[in-house]
Amino acid sequence: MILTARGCTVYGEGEQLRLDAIDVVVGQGEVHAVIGPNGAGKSTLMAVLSGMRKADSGVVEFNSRSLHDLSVVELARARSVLGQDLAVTFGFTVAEVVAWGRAPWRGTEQMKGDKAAIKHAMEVAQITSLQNRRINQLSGGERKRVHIARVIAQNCPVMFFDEPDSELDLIGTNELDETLRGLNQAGRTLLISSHNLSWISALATHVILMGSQKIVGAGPTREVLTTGLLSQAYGREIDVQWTPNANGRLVAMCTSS
Amino acid sequence: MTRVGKTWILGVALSLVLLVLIALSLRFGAAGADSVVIWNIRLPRTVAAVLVGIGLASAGVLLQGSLRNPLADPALVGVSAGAALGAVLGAAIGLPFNSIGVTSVAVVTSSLAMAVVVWVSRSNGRIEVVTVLLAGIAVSAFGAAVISIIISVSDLAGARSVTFWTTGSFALSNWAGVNSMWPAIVIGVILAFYLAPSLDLLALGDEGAYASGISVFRTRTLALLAAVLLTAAGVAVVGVIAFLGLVVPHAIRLVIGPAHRQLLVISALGGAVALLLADTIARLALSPVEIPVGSVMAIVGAPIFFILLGRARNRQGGWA
Repeated sequence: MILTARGCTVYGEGEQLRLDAIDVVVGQGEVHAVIGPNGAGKSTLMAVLSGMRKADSGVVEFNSRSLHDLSVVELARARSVLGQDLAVTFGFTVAEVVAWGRAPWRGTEQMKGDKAAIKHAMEVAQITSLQNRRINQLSGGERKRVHIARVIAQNCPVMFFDEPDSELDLIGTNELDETLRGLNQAGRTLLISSHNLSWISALATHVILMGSQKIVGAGPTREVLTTGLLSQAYGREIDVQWTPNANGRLVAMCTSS
Repeated sequence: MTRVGKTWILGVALSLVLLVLIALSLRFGAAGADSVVIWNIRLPRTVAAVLVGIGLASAGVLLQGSLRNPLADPALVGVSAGAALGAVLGAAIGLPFNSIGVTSVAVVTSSLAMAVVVWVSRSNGRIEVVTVLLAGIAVSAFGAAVISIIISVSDLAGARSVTFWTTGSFALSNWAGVNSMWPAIVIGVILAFYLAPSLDLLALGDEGAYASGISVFRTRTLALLAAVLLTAAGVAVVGVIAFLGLVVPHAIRLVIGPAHRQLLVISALGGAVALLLADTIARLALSPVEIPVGSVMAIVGAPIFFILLGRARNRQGGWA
Protein backbone atom coordinates (compact mmCIF):
# COMPACT_ATOMS: atom_id res chain seq x y z
CA MET A 1 0.00 0.00 0.00
CA ILE A 2 1.48 3.33 -1.02
CA LEU A 3 -0.79 5.49 1.13
CA THR A 4 -2.84 4.59 4.20
CA ALA A 5 -4.79 6.56 6.79
CA ARG A 6 -6.01 5.12 10.08
CA GLY A 7 -8.49 6.74 12.43
CA CYS A 8 -7.97 10.27 11.14
CA THR A 9 -10.10 12.82 12.98
CA VAL A 10 -10.00 16.55 12.33
CA TYR A 11 -11.69 19.37 14.19
CA GLY A 12 -12.19 22.79 12.60
CA GLU A 13 -12.76 26.13 14.30
CA GLY A 14 -14.95 25.95 17.36
CA GLU A 15 -14.32 22.20 17.81
CA GLN A 16 -16.54 21.51 14.82
CA LEU A 17 -15.99 17.95 13.56
CA ARG A 18 -14.52 17.96 10.03
CA LEU A 19 -13.39 14.33 9.68
CA ASP A 20 -14.62 11.49 11.87
CA ALA A 21 -12.15 8.60 12.36
CA ILE A 22 -11.43 7.99 8.68
CA ASP A 23 -9.57 4.95 7.32
CA VAL A 24 -8.23 4.98 3.76
CA VAL A 25 -6.11 2.47 1.85
CA VAL A 26 -4.62 3.40 -1.52
CA GLY A 27 -2.63 0.90 -3.58
CA GLN A 28 0.19 1.71 -6.00
CA GLY A 29 -1.15 2.62 -9.45
CA GLU A 30 -4.75 3.08 -8.38
CA VAL A 31 -6.93 6.06 -9.24
CA HIS A 32 -9.08 7.11 -6.30
CA ALA A 33 -11.99 9.50 -6.69
CA VAL A 34 -12.99 11.42 -3.57
CA ILE A 35 -16.64 12.37 -3.95
CA GLY A 36 -19.58 13.49 -1.86
CA PRO A 37 -21.84 16.48 -1.28
CA ASN A 38 -20.54 19.95 -0.33
CA GLY A 39 -19.39 20.08 3.26
CA ALA A 40 -19.04 16.29 3.56
CA GLY A 41 -15.31 16.59 4.24
CA LYS A 42 -13.75 15.95 0.80
CA SER A 43 -11.33 18.87 0.94
CA THR A 44 -10.33 18.11 4.52
CA LEU A 45 -9.69 14.45 3.63
CA MET A 46 -7.58 15.46 0.61
CA ALA A 47 -5.64 17.92 2.80
CA VAL A 48 -4.96 15.30 5.49
CA LEU A 49 -3.95 12.57 3.02
CA SER A 50 -1.60 14.96 1.18
CA GLY A 51 0.02 16.20 4.38
CA MET A 52 -1.22 19.75 3.83
CA ARG A 53 -3.00 19.56 7.15
CA LYS A 54 -2.32 17.52 10.27
CA ALA A 55 -5.11 15.34 11.64
CA ASP A 56 -5.92 15.97 15.30
CA SER A 57 -5.68 12.23 15.84
CA GLY A 58 -4.87 9.25 13.65
CA VAL A 59 -1.96 8.60 11.33
CA VAL A 60 -1.27 8.87 7.59
CA GLU A 61 1.53 6.76 6.13
CA PHE A 62 3.32 6.99 2.79
CA ASN A 63 5.14 3.72 2.01
CA SER A 64 4.80 2.76 5.70
CA ARG A 65 6.40 6.02 6.91
CA SER A 66 4.28 8.46 8.87
CA LEU A 67 3.85 11.80 7.06
CA HIS A 68 4.84 13.44 10.38
CA ASP A 69 8.33 12.00 9.99
CA LEU A 70 8.83 13.47 6.51
CA SER A 71 10.35 16.96 6.10
CA VAL A 72 8.56 19.50 3.92
CA VAL A 73 10.95 18.68 1.08
CA GLU A 74 10.68 14.89 1.49
CA LEU A 75 6.90 15.28 1.41
CA ALA A 76 7.17 17.28 -1.81
CA ARG A 77 9.17 14.43 -3.37
CA ALA A 78 6.51 11.89 -2.33
CA ARG A 79 3.37 13.66 -3.49
CA SER A 80 2.36 16.65 -5.58
CA VAL A 81 -0.81 18.69 -5.05
CA LEU A 82 -2.87 20.61 -7.58
CA GLY A 83 -4.91 22.92 -5.35
CA GLN A 84 -7.86 25.10 -6.24
CA ASP A 85 -6.18 28.49 -5.67
CA LEU A 86 -4.00 28.86 -8.75
CA ALA A 87 -3.32 32.61 -8.58
CA VAL A 88 0.32 33.63 -9.14
CA THR A 89 1.60 37.03 -7.99
CA PHE A 90 3.78 39.03 -10.42
CA GLY A 91 4.30 38.33 -14.12
CA PHE A 92 6.16 35.01 -14.05
CA THR A 93 6.35 33.17 -17.37
CA VAL A 94 4.84 29.76 -18.02
CA ALA A 95 8.31 28.20 -18.22
CA GLU A 96 9.28 29.71 -14.84
CA VAL A 97 6.13 28.41 -13.14
CA VAL A 98 6.58 24.89 -14.55
CA ALA A 99 10.23 24.92 -13.39
CA TRP A 100 9.03 25.49 -9.79
CA GLY A 101 7.87 21.88 -9.86
CA ARG A 102 11.55 20.95 -9.70
CA ALA A 103 12.14 22.89 -6.45
CA PRO A 104 12.02 19.80 -4.16
CA TRP A 105 14.85 18.20 -6.18
CA ARG A 106 17.28 21.10 -5.76
CA GLY A 107 20.67 19.84 -4.71
CA THR A 108 19.96 16.18 -5.55
CA GLU A 109 21.11 13.87 -8.35
CA GLN A 110 17.70 14.33 -10.01
CA MET A 111 18.53 17.99 -10.71
CA LYS A 112 20.37 16.79 -13.83
CA GLY A 113 16.98 15.77 -15.20
CA ASP A 114 15.40 19.21 -14.64
CA LYS A 115 15.39 20.32 -18.27
CA ALA A 116 14.04 17.03 -19.58
CA ALA A 117 11.37 16.86 -16.85
CA ILE A 118 10.19 20.42 -17.58
CA LYS A 119 10.11 19.81 -21.34
CA HIS A 120 8.22 16.53 -20.89
CA ALA A 121 5.72 18.09 -18.46
CA MET A 122 4.96 20.94 -20.87
CA GLU A 123 4.42 18.46 -23.71
CA VAL A 124 2.09 16.26 -21.66
CA ALA A 125 0.05 19.30 -20.56
CA GLN A 126 0.15 20.72 -24.12
CA ILE A 127 1.54 24.12 -23.17
CA THR A 128 4.92 24.05 -24.94
CA SER A 129 3.77 26.81 -27.30
CA LEU A 130 2.82 29.02 -24.33
CA GLN A 131 6.13 28.73 -22.47
CA ASN A 132 7.29 32.31 -22.96
CA ARG A 133 3.92 33.89 -22.18
CA ARG A 134 3.17 35.41 -18.80
CA ILE A 135 0.87 33.19 -16.79
CA ASN A 136 -1.36 36.14 -15.80
CA GLN A 137 -2.21 36.75 -19.46
CA LEU A 138 -3.58 33.24 -20.08
CA SER A 139 -7.19 32.03 -19.94
CA GLY A 140 -8.42 30.04 -16.93
CA GLY A 141 -8.17 26.72 -18.76
CA GLU A 142 -4.64 27.45 -20.03
CA ARG A 143 -3.54 28.53 -16.57
CA LYS A 144 -4.81 25.26 -15.13
CA ARG A 145 -2.78 23.34 -17.71
CA VAL A 146 0.34 25.27 -16.67
CA HIS A 147 -0.15 24.21 -13.04
CA ILE A 148 -0.80 20.63 -14.13
CA ALA A 149 2.52 20.75 -15.98
CA ARG A 150 4.12 22.10 -12.80
CA VAL A 151 2.92 19.16 -10.68
CA ILE A 152 3.92 16.71 -13.43
CA ALA A 153 7.45 18.18 -13.41
CA GLN A 154 7.52 17.57 -9.64
CA ASN A 155 7.68 13.87 -10.58
CA CYS A 156 6.03 12.33 -7.51
CA PRO A 157 4.66 8.77 -7.23
CA VAL A 158 1.40 10.07 -5.70
CA MET A 159 -0.51 13.02 -7.19
CA PHE A 160 -3.44 14.89 -5.64
CA PHE A 161 -5.91 16.86 -7.76
CA ASP A 162 -8.45 18.96 -5.85
CA GLU A 163 -11.45 19.50 -8.16
CA PRO A 164 -9.26 19.77 -11.26
CA ASP A 165 -12.30 19.87 -13.57
CA SER A 166 -13.94 22.91 -11.95
CA GLU A 167 -14.25 25.74 -14.51
CA LEU A 168 -13.47 23.38 -17.40
CA ASP A 169 -15.92 22.84 -20.27
CA LEU A 170 -16.65 19.48 -21.91
CA ILE A 171 -13.57 19.64 -24.15
CA GLY A 172 -11.35 20.84 -21.32
CA THR A 173 -12.53 18.02 -19.08
CA ASN A 174 -11.84 15.51 -21.84
CA GLU A 175 -8.28 16.83 -22.29
CA LEU A 176 -7.79 16.67 -18.51
CA ASP A 177 -9.08 13.10 -18.58
CA GLU A 178 -6.51 12.12 -21.22
CA THR A 179 -3.69 13.77 -19.28
CA LEU A 180 -4.65 12.02 -16.03
CA ARG A 181 -4.99 8.63 -17.78
CA GLY A 182 -1.53 9.12 -19.26
CA LEU A 183 -0.09 9.85 -15.82
CA ASN A 184 -1.75 6.76 -14.40
CA GLN A 185 -0.46 4.59 -17.24
CA ALA A 186 3.02 5.93 -16.47
CA GLY A 187 2.62 4.40 -13.00
CA ARG A 188 1.40 7.35 -10.93
CA THR A 189 -1.13 6.86 -8.16
CA LEU A 190 -3.84 9.51 -8.40
CA LEU A 191 -6.31 10.94 -5.88
CA ILE A 192 -8.91 13.21 -7.45
CA SER A 193 -11.77 15.05 -5.81
CA SER A 194 -14.64 16.13 -8.03
CA HIS A 195 -18.36 16.86 -8.22
CA ASN A 196 -18.58 15.41 -11.72
CA LEU A 197 -19.71 11.83 -10.99
CA SER A 198 -20.18 10.96 -14.65
CA TRP A 199 -16.61 11.92 -15.58
CA ILE A 200 -14.92 10.45 -12.52
CA SER A 201 -16.85 7.16 -12.69
CA ALA A 202 -15.13 6.31 -15.98
CA LEU A 203 -11.67 7.35 -14.79
CA ALA A 204 -11.41 6.07 -11.23
CA THR A 205 -10.51 2.51 -10.29
CA HIS A 206 -11.70 3.20 -6.73
CA VAL A 207 -14.08 5.60 -5.04
CA ILE A 208 -14.03 7.14 -1.57
CA LEU A 209 -17.60 8.32 -0.99
CA MET A 210 -17.93 10.92 1.77
CA GLY A 211 -21.10 11.87 3.65
CA SER A 212 -21.26 14.10 6.73
CA GLN A 213 -17.60 13.82 7.80
CA LYS A 214 -17.51 10.00 7.44
CA ILE A 215 -16.73 7.54 4.69
CA VAL A 216 -20.03 6.13 3.46
CA GLY A 217 -18.40 3.72 1.08
CA ALA A 218 -14.91 2.96 -0.23
CA GLY A 219 -13.74 0.38 -2.74
CA PRO A 220 -13.83 -0.46 -6.45
CA THR A 221 -15.82 2.11 -8.42
CA ARG A 222 -18.80 -0.08 -9.38
CA GLU A 223 -19.22 -1.38 -5.84
CA VAL A 224 -19.44 2.09 -4.31
CA LEU A 225 -21.40 4.03 -6.92
CA THR A 226 -24.72 2.35 -6.12
CA THR A 227 -28.19 3.71 -5.53
CA GLY A 228 -28.04 2.74 -1.87
CA LEU A 229 -24.67 4.28 -0.97
CA LEU A 230 -25.08 7.45 -3.07
CA SER A 231 -28.54 8.05 -1.60
CA GLN A 232 -27.08 7.64 1.87
CA ALA A 233 -24.19 10.04 1.21
CA TYR A 234 -26.27 12.77 -0.44
CA GLY A 235 -29.30 12.35 1.81
CA ARG A 236 -31.65 12.13 -1.18
CA GLU A 237 -33.10 9.32 -3.28
CA ILE A 238 -30.64 8.98 -6.15
CA ASP A 239 -31.29 6.92 -9.23
CA VAL A 240 -28.16 5.34 -10.73
CA GLN A 241 -27.68 4.01 -14.25
CA TRP A 242 -24.59 3.05 -16.23
CA THR A 243 -24.11 3.71 -19.93
CA PRO A 244 -23.90 0.38 -21.76
CA ASN A 245 -20.55 0.78 -23.54
CA ALA A 246 -17.45 -1.08 -22.36
CA ASN A 247 -15.96 1.88 -20.50
CA GLY A 248 -19.30 2.73 -18.91
CA ARG A 249 -20.15 5.98 -17.20
CA LEU A 250 -22.46 6.65 -14.33
CA VAL A 251 -25.61 8.67 -14.88
CA ALA A 252 -26.98 9.78 -11.52
CA MET A 253 -30.01 11.91 -10.80
CA CYS A 254 -32.07 12.90 -7.83
CA THR A 255 -35.52 11.35 -7.87
CA SER A 256 -36.92 13.13 -4.81
CA SER A 257 -36.35 16.50 -3.24
CA MET B 1 15.19 39.67 -26.38
CA THR B 2 15.21 37.10 -23.61
CA ARG B 3 14.96 38.09 -19.98
CA VAL B 4 18.50 36.83 -19.40
CA GLY B 5 19.82 39.09 -22.15
CA LYS B 6 17.94 42.08 -20.78
CA THR B 7 19.26 41.35 -17.29
CA TRP B 8 22.87 41.48 -18.49
CA ILE B 9 22.39 44.65 -20.53
CA LEU B 10 20.55 46.43 -17.72
CA GLY B 11 23.15 45.27 -15.20
CA VAL B 12 26.06 46.59 -17.26
CA ALA B 13 24.23 49.86 -18.08
CA LEU B 14 23.35 50.53 -14.42
CA SER B 15 26.93 49.77 -13.35
CA LEU B 16 28.25 52.34 -15.81
CA VAL B 17 25.71 54.95 -14.70
CA LEU B 18 26.64 54.22 -11.09
CA LEU B 19 30.33 54.85 -11.81
CA VAL B 20 29.52 58.16 -13.51
CA LEU B 21 27.29 59.21 -10.58
CA ILE B 22 29.99 58.30 -8.05
CA ALA B 23 32.44 60.46 -9.98
CA LEU B 24 29.95 63.34 -10.08
CA SER B 25 29.12 62.93 -6.41
CA LEU B 26 32.81 63.21 -5.51
CA ARG B 27 33.34 66.16 -7.87
CA PHE B 28 30.50 68.41 -6.63
CA GLY B 29 29.28 69.31 -3.19
CA ALA B 30 30.61 70.85 -0.01
CA ALA B 31 32.96 73.73 -0.74
CA GLY B 32 36.51 73.07 -1.79
CA ALA B 33 37.95 70.15 -3.64
CA ASP B 34 41.06 69.26 -1.70
CA SER B 35 41.70 65.65 -0.82
CA VAL B 36 40.61 66.13 2.81
CA VAL B 37 37.13 67.30 1.76
CA ILE B 38 36.80 64.47 -0.77
CA TRP B 39 38.10 61.79 1.59
CA ASN B 40 36.34 62.86 4.79
CA ILE B 41 33.07 64.37 3.52
CA ARG B 42 32.16 63.45 -0.03
CA LEU B 43 33.41 59.87 -0.19
CA PRO B 44 31.64 58.64 2.98
CA ARG B 45 28.51 60.44 1.88
CA THR B 46 28.68 58.77 -1.54
CA VAL B 47 29.36 55.34 -0.05
CA ALA B 48 26.46 55.83 2.39
CA ALA B 49 24.10 56.71 -0.48
CA VAL B 50 25.17 53.60 -2.40
CA LEU B 51 24.76 51.33 0.66
CA VAL B 52 21.39 52.78 1.69
CA GLY B 53 20.18 52.54 -1.93
CA ILE B 54 21.19 48.88 -2.08
CA GLY B 55 19.56 48.26 1.30
CA LEU B 56 16.21 49.94 0.64
CA ALA B 57 15.76 48.51 -2.87
CA SER B 58 16.64 44.98 -1.70
CA ALA B 59 14.33 45.38 1.29
CA GLY B 60 11.54 46.40 -1.10
CA VAL B 61 12.11 43.24 -3.18
CA LEU B 62 12.05 41.08 -0.03
CA LEU B 63 8.91 42.69 1.40
CA GLN B 64 7.02 42.54 -1.91
CA GLY B 65 8.00 38.91 -2.51
CA SER B 66 7.48 37.56 1.01
CA LEU B 67 4.19 39.41 1.62
CA ARG B 68 2.96 38.80 -1.99
CA ASN B 69 2.28 42.52 -1.96
CA PRO B 70 3.34 44.67 -4.92
CA LEU B 71 2.76 47.83 -2.85
CA ALA B 72 5.16 46.99 -0.01
CA ASP B 73 8.00 49.43 0.78
CA PRO B 74 10.08 49.64 3.97
CA ALA B 75 8.73 53.11 4.83
CA LEU B 76 5.11 52.41 3.82
CA VAL B 77 4.88 49.29 6.01
CA GLY B 78 6.31 51.06 9.07
CA VAL B 79 9.69 49.28 9.24
CA SER B 80 11.60 52.50 8.59
CA ALA B 81 9.74 54.44 11.29
CA GLY B 82 10.45 51.60 13.71
CA ALA B 83 14.15 51.88 12.89
CA ALA B 84 14.19 55.69 13.24
CA LEU B 85 12.52 55.39 16.64
CA GLY B 86 15.19 52.91 17.72
CA ALA B 87 18.00 55.18 16.58
CA VAL B 88 16.58 58.12 18.57
CA LEU B 89 15.96 55.86 21.55
CA GLY B 90 19.54 54.57 21.35
CA ALA B 91 20.91 58.11 21.26
CA ALA B 92 18.64 59.15 24.16
CA ILE B 93 20.18 56.47 26.37
CA GLY B 94 23.62 57.80 25.53
CA LEU B 95 24.85 55.78 22.57
CA PRO B 96 26.65 57.93 19.95
CA PHE B 97 24.95 58.51 16.58
CA ASN B 98 26.41 56.54 13.64
CA SER B 99 27.53 53.74 15.95
CA ILE B 100 26.89 49.99 15.82
CA GLY B 101 25.05 50.42 19.15
CA VAL B 102 22.45 52.76 17.69
CA THR B 103 22.10 50.53 14.62
CA SER B 104 21.47 47.52 16.88
CA VAL B 105 18.70 49.29 18.78
CA ALA B 106 17.21 50.34 15.44
CA VAL B 107 17.23 46.72 14.23
CA VAL B 108 15.36 45.62 17.36
CA THR B 109 12.63 48.30 17.21
CA SER B 110 12.31 47.86 13.46
CA SER B 111 11.74 44.11 13.95
CA LEU B 112 9.06 44.91 16.51
CA ALA B 113 7.34 47.27 14.05
CA MET B 114 7.47 44.58 11.35
CA ALA B 115 6.06 41.97 13.73
CA VAL B 116 3.18 44.27 14.77
CA VAL B 117 2.29 45.08 11.16
CA VAL B 118 2.34 41.44 10.04
CA TRP B 119 0.40 40.33 13.12
CA VAL B 120 -2.33 42.95 12.61
CA SER B 121 -2.65 42.16 8.88
CA ARG B 122 -3.13 38.42 9.24
CA SER B 123 -6.55 37.14 8.29
CA ASN B 124 -7.37 33.49 7.59
CA GLY B 125 -3.70 32.69 7.16
CA ARG B 126 -3.22 35.46 4.57
CA ILE B 127 -1.45 38.77 5.02
CA GLU B 128 -3.81 41.31 3.47
CA VAL B 129 -2.36 43.71 0.90
CA VAL B 130 -4.14 46.86 2.06
CA THR B 131 -4.17 46.17 5.78
CA VAL B 132 -0.36 45.99 5.72
CA LEU B 133 -0.26 49.57 4.42
CA LEU B 134 -2.87 50.81 6.91
CA ALA B 135 -1.01 49.18 9.78
CA GLY B 136 2.17 50.73 8.38
CA ILE B 137 0.60 54.20 8.55
CA ALA B 138 -0.38 53.68 12.19
CA VAL B 139 3.05 52.34 13.17
CA SER B 140 4.76 55.21 11.34
CA ALA B 141 2.58 57.81 13.08
CA PHE B 142 3.28 56.18 16.43
CA GLY B 143 7.02 56.15 15.71
CA ALA B 144 7.07 59.79 14.65
CA ALA B 145 5.12 60.79 17.76
CA VAL B 146 7.51 59.03 20.11
CA ILE B 147 10.50 60.47 18.23
CA SER B 148 9.23 64.04 18.69
CA ILE B 149 8.52 63.43 22.38
CA ILE B 150 12.01 62.03 22.98
CA ILE B 151 13.62 64.89 21.07
CA SER B 152 11.57 67.51 22.98
CA VAL B 153 12.49 66.16 26.40
CA SER B 154 16.14 65.42 25.61
CA ASP B 155 18.95 67.53 24.18
CA LEU B 156 19.04 65.59 20.92
CA ALA B 157 17.36 68.33 18.86
CA GLY B 158 20.71 70.06 18.28
CA ALA B 159 22.19 66.87 16.85
CA ARG B 160 19.32 65.72 14.61
CA SER B 161 15.90 67.34 14.20
CA VAL B 162 12.56 65.58 13.87
CA THR B 163 12.58 66.59 10.20
CA PHE B 164 15.91 64.83 9.68
CA TRP B 165 14.33 61.55 10.80
CA THR B 166 11.12 61.88 8.79
CA THR B 167 12.57 63.02 5.44
CA GLY B 168 16.07 61.59 5.44
CA SER B 169 19.38 63.25 4.61
CA PHE B 170 22.97 62.26 3.89
CA ALA B 171 24.30 65.55 5.30
CA LEU B 172 25.42 63.83 8.54
CA SER B 173 26.88 60.70 6.91
CA ASN B 174 30.53 60.11 7.78
CA TRP B 175 32.87 57.12 7.93
CA ALA B 176 31.47 56.14 11.33
CA GLY B 177 28.02 56.01 9.76
CA VAL B 178 29.29 53.87 6.87
CA ASN B 179 31.00 51.50 9.31
CA SER B 180 27.84 51.19 11.39
CA MET B 181 25.70 50.16 8.41
CA TRP B 182 27.74 47.97 6.06
CA PRO B 183 27.85 44.77 8.17
CA ALA B 184 24.04 44.57 8.45
CA ILE B 185 23.62 45.40 4.77
CA VAL B 186 26.11 42.74 3.69
CA ILE B 187 24.37 40.11 5.88
CA GLY B 188 20.97 41.21 4.55
CA VAL B 189 22.03 40.97 0.91
CA ILE B 190 23.58 37.51 1.38
CA LEU B 191 20.47 36.28 3.19
CA ALA B 192 18.25 37.74 0.46
CA PHE B 193 20.27 36.09 -2.30
CA TYR B 194 20.05 32.73 -0.51
CA LEU B 195 16.26 33.06 -0.04
CA ALA B 196 15.51 34.31 -3.57
CA PRO B 197 14.60 30.96 -5.23
CA SER B 198 12.17 30.15 -2.39
CA LEU B 199 10.63 33.64 -2.63
CA ASP B 200 9.76 32.83 -6.26
CA LEU B 201 7.57 29.93 -5.12
CA LEU B 202 5.79 32.06 -2.50
CA ALA B 203 4.04 33.63 -5.52
CA LEU B 204 1.94 30.43 -5.55
CA GLY B 205 0.50 31.32 -2.15
CA ASP B 206 1.32 29.62 1.14
CA GLU B 207 -0.39 26.31 0.32
CA GLY B 208 1.06 26.00 -3.16
CA ALA B 209 4.54 26.85 -1.89
CA TYR B 210 4.29 24.34 0.96
CA ALA B 211 3.04 21.62 -1.42
CA SER B 212 6.15 22.32 -3.52
CA GLY B 213 8.51 21.75 -0.61
CA ILE B 214 9.02 25.31 0.68
CA SER B 215 9.06 25.91 4.46
CA VAL B 216 6.80 28.91 4.21
CA PHE B 217 7.05 30.25 7.77
CA ARG B 218 10.84 29.95 7.84
CA THR B 219 11.27 31.55 4.41
CA ARG B 220 8.94 34.45 5.20
CA THR B 221 10.44 35.09 8.65
CA LEU B 222 14.01 35.13 7.32
CA ALA B 223 13.00 37.36 4.39
CA LEU B 224 11.33 39.86 6.72
CA LEU B 225 14.35 39.76 9.04
CA ALA B 226 16.67 40.47 6.10
CA ALA B 227 14.41 43.35 5.04
CA VAL B 228 14.59 44.75 8.58
CA LEU B 229 18.42 44.54 8.65
CA LEU B 230 18.72 46.18 5.22
CA THR B 231 16.34 48.99 6.20
CA ALA B 232 17.30 49.66 9.81
CA ALA B 233 21.05 49.89 9.13
CA GLY B 234 20.49 52.75 6.68
CA VAL B 235 17.67 54.52 8.51
CA ALA B 236 19.71 54.71 11.74
CA VAL B 237 22.23 56.91 9.91
CA VAL B 238 20.21 58.83 7.30
CA GLY B 239 16.56 58.80 8.49
CA VAL B 240 13.45 57.60 6.66
CA ILE B 241 13.54 57.59 2.85
CA ALA B 242 10.24 56.42 1.40
CA PHE B 243 9.26 55.04 -2.03
CA LEU B 244 12.73 53.97 -3.20
CA GLY B 245 12.05 50.36 -2.16
CA LEU B 246 8.73 50.52 -4.02
CA VAL B 247 9.68 52.24 -7.25
CA VAL B 248 13.03 50.63 -8.06
CA PRO B 249 11.99 46.92 -7.92
CA HIS B 250 8.85 47.77 -9.93
CA ALA B 251 10.77 49.47 -12.69
CA ILE B 252 13.31 46.62 -12.82
CA ARG B 253 10.59 43.96 -12.79
CA LEU B 254 8.98 45.56 -15.86
CA VAL B 255 12.18 45.00 -17.82
CA ILE B 256 13.66 41.71 -16.57
CA GLY B 257 10.66 39.96 -15.00
CA PRO B 258 9.98 38.97 -11.38
CA ALA B 259 12.44 36.07 -10.77
CA HIS B 260 14.00 37.06 -7.46
CA ARG B 261 17.72 36.28 -7.94
CA GLN B 262 18.05 38.57 -10.93
CA LEU B 263 15.55 41.06 -9.52
CA LEU B 264 17.57 41.42 -6.31
CA VAL B 265 20.91 41.99 -7.99
CA ILE B 266 19.64 44.48 -10.54
CA SER B 267 17.37 46.26 -8.03
CA ALA B 268 20.31 46.66 -5.64
CA LEU B 269 22.25 48.33 -8.45
CA GLY B 270 19.21 50.38 -9.43
CA GLY B 271 18.66 51.43 -5.80
CA ALA B 272 22.24 52.68 -5.54
CA VAL B 273 21.86 54.62 -8.82
CA ALA B 274 18.48 56.11 -7.85
CA LEU B 275 19.56 57.25 -4.40
CA LEU B 276 22.88 58.67 -5.54
CA LEU B 277 21.03 60.54 -8.28
CA ALA B 278 18.46 61.81 -5.77
CA ASP B 279 21.21 62.96 -3.41
CA THR B 280 23.05 64.74 -6.21
CA ILE B 281 19.79 66.51 -7.13
CA ALA B 282 19.19 67.29 -3.44
CA ARG B 283 22.57 68.99 -3.22
CA LEU B 284 22.57 70.81 -6.55
CA ALA B 285 18.93 71.69 -7.34
CA LEU B 286 18.62 74.70 -4.99
CA SER B 287 22.36 75.11 -4.29
CA PRO B 288 23.72 76.42 -1.96
CA VAL B 289 20.65 75.29 0.02
CA GLU B 290 20.42 71.51 0.34
CA ILE B 291 16.98 69.87 0.19
CA PRO B 292 16.32 66.61 2.06
CA VAL B 293 16.97 63.60 -0.16
CA GLY B 294 13.79 61.97 1.15
CA SER B 295 11.78 64.84 -0.32
CA VAL B 296 13.33 64.27 -3.74
CA MET B 297 12.44 60.55 -3.58
CA ALA B 298 8.89 61.27 -2.38
CA ILE B 299 8.19 63.79 -5.15
CA VAL B 300 9.11 61.15 -7.72
CA GLY B 301 7.80 58.15 -5.80
CA ALA B 302 4.36 59.26 -4.61
CA PRO B 303 2.83 59.66 -8.11
CA ILE B 304 4.22 56.26 -9.11
CA PHE B 305 2.70 54.77 -5.95
CA PHE B 306 -0.72 56.12 -6.99
CA ILE B 307 -0.44 54.44 -10.37
CA LEU B 308 0.52 51.10 -8.75
CA LEU B 309 -2.25 51.47 -6.17
CA GLY B 310 -4.83 51.93 -8.94
CA ARG B 311 -3.53 48.85 -10.75
CA ALA B 312 -3.56 46.68 -7.63
CA ARG B 313 -7.10 47.81 -6.85
CA ASN B 314 -8.34 47.00 -10.35
CA ARG B 315 -6.78 43.55 -10.14
CA GLN B 316 -8.62 42.82 -6.89
CA GLY B 317 -11.92 44.28 -8.09
CA GLY B 318 -11.86 47.28 -5.75
CA TRP B 319 -11.64 47.57 -1.99
CA ALA B 320 -14.73 48.23 0.07
